[in-house]
Amino acid sequence: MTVRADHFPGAFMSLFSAILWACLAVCLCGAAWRMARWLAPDRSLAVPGLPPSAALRYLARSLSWRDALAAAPRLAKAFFIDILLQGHLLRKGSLWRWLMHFTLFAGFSGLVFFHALESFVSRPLFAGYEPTLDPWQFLRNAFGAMVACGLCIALCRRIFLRDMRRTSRFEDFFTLGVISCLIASGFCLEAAKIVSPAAFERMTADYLPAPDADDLTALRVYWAAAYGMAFPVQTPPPGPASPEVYEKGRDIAEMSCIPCHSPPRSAFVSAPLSRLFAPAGAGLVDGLRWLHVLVCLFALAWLPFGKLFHILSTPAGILLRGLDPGRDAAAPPAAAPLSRAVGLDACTNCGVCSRHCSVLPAYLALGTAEILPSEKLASMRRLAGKSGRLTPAALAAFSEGGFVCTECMRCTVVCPSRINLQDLWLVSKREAARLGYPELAVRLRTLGPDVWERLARTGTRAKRTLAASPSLLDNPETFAHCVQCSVCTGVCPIFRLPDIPATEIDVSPHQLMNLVRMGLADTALSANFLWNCTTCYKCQEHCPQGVRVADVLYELRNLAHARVEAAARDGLLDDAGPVAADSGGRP
Amino acid sequence: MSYAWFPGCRIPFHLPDYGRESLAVLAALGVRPAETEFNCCGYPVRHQSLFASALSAARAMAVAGRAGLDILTPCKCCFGHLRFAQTVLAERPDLMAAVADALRPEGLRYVPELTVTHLLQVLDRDIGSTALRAAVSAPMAGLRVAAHYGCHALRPSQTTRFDDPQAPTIFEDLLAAAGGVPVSWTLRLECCGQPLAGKNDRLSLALAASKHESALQAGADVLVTACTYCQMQLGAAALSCALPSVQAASGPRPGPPIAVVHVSRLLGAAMGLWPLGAMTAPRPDTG
Repeated sequence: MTVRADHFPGAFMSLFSAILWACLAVCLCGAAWRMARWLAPDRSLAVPGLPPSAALRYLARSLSWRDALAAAPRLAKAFFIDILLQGHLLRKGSLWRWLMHFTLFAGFSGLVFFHALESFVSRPLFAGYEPTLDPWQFLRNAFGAMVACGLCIALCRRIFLRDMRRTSRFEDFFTLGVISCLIASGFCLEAAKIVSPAAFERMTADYLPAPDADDLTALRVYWAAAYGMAFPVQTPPPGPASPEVYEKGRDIAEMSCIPCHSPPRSAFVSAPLSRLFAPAGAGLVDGLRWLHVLVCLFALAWLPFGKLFHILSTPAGILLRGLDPGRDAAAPPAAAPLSRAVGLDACTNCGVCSRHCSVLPAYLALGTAEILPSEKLASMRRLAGKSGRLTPAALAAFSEGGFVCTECMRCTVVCPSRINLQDLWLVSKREAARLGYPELAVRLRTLGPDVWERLARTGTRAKRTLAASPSLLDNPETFAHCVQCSVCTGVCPIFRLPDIPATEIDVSPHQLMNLVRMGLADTALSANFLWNCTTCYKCQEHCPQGVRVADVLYELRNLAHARVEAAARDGLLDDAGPVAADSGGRP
Repeated sequence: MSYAWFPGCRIPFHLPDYGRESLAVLAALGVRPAETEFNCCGYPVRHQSLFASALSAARAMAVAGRAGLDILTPCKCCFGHLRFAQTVLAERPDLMAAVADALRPEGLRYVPELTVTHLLQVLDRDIGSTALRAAVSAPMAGLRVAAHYGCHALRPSQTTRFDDPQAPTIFEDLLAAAGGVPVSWTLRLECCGQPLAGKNDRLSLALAASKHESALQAGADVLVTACTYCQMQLGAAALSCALPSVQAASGPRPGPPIAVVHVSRLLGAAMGLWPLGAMTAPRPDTG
């Protein structure tokens, strides 16, 4: 960030430097902290049997100079096409997405290098550089307009696209808001300076040796007439200017102004804006300057702590991604914890994964946000940051989302940040199970009849599951024809297996039908056999009385899930899950 | 008839060969299903929520219906569940209304008249064993094949209408047309155990082992599947990471005692599209 000392009062400069250095320190420390977590990833991201902290060493050791040479063209291509040109955004088929991000990226980069860092880039590289000269004055506006354009597209997409609205968070809008403030304050500052008498006077004092009042008036007349400048009303003399005054003004301008100051009309956003500002806006220069500088410095300090960090993490992830993410997920390399940690940080919450998610309808029906990849990733990031100190409810949702995932690999294919999500989801299932939250069916099978009775008594039926409200269980006709002939049990594949512990077949299918017929569905829910049914439908196919045995078993499982979901929604679950520790098995 | 290819979720990561080779076999026989992006059929959440699974199935069928296509799937669980959803949506107006409400915001409409077809049915019905026989260039002379039917295509038969649920022949007919010798084996219509994988691994693996043993006892050289889940379960191509508890407890699963291949691998080999692997070559008769 460069603020030219000659433009600003001394007090401003010293306060500015203090804030600048503080923000820069926060930015650097924050970035170092986040990158340290890449190099020493949380143990939840470990490859079994290998310490996660050594991931970088494994990566370095696995690379020979031969590999590095072989990979160099691929990495160079990825850098130019995917990182600089952002072709990865285009590849999955959305021109708007690419346009949105590329204008943001290109415009912002232009502003950072040629405007913010002008003392380090523009001035040393380009002889005769002046921020007020074209093309720089024009480019500054062009870059700003590009960013504004990208911001508009981004905001519209987040507001009007249903799939994006679903996964948009406060942070997404906050980030867009910060960048909007930054660009808007920049344009306004430039506009206010254009009409600022103080700026005019400072420049004439600097560049016009010994001007008299007539010279200044002529100069004002010329700038107002030729370049459409809007001076505060009281400054120019009343009445139409004579051609002589205009000519004089032009002579002075050509001699003293034009060599370092292009006509302001090339500032194609700020110049028209300045007309809205005149005359009162001129007094806002100081306020706007502070606003612009503070927003820039806030963005700098906040960069490592929010999604803006993807400026660093996403390119790192793209370069680290292996050639075959499927193979890397199936057999994770020793350096996987590093890629996983970078991947968790590389997510920009663009929502593309959730839009294409195979189990999106399951989310629409069940309503657990963590079913959607983008939300599950956010949970996983919290988990990796706090080593499992998620609340039981958050862990339960994380587990449900994780196990509903069918591992179809699509999110990994469409992810614009090229995160190996498939690998992360396999880890998420493992971690959920390790933290005591395996698949819900596995937890439900451990609950005893007393728990089910209590949930049935206290829990309300959840709205979302109403459509699946049991219809066979409630209908006496379902079991009316059952004669307890036990053919269902006779054909059951579980009952023909040798060496199966008796507890696994505590109730047989025909006994289960009888329990439900007698209204003891809650006892049926606690039967191990209910959860051991393979749903092969042999019982139903062979039933001589046409009882829909397997469909009833499915409904019982639905009922169990619905009861627990309803209890969770009603806040009936204590910390250990749906039961107190002494009243049943541990879920 | 125009089909949309519905590979099912497990193909891209777990069994890419089955998807690729099925499409190659179909293409060689003149069937080129359109590749469309589908959501999950809903089978995996059927035991959790009928609504979630019916909505998933209805959405998939609505996507195919919007393109004017019928669904063709190589997975018997997808096939069985989509057919099940058609039945249950026709039976239950309350469910149908809830599903229609959930689809409406996306501008999708469930298409009840759409047909759901399994790969084997297309080979048997649309192509026919005569055409298949004509396409076979390298018959698998004497290869004794044990056809594994897969539960969810066969049963409940009133819903799936796949083949005779007690004595199906469609799979054996196709394998015989390709030059295989189908064996009769005790557990050919039984469950592979996949639905319990990750939930009760002990029972799941015991069921798979009993299938392997039955096929071996019947003298089969190779056990043939036509379902993604069955192939994953019986073929031990199943990645151990799919079963976290097994991986943690006992390391990777051992390979099966008998070669297990999906139907497209065998048919493609018989049609000369790729060589028959050594694993599936007929074993010398030990008498």
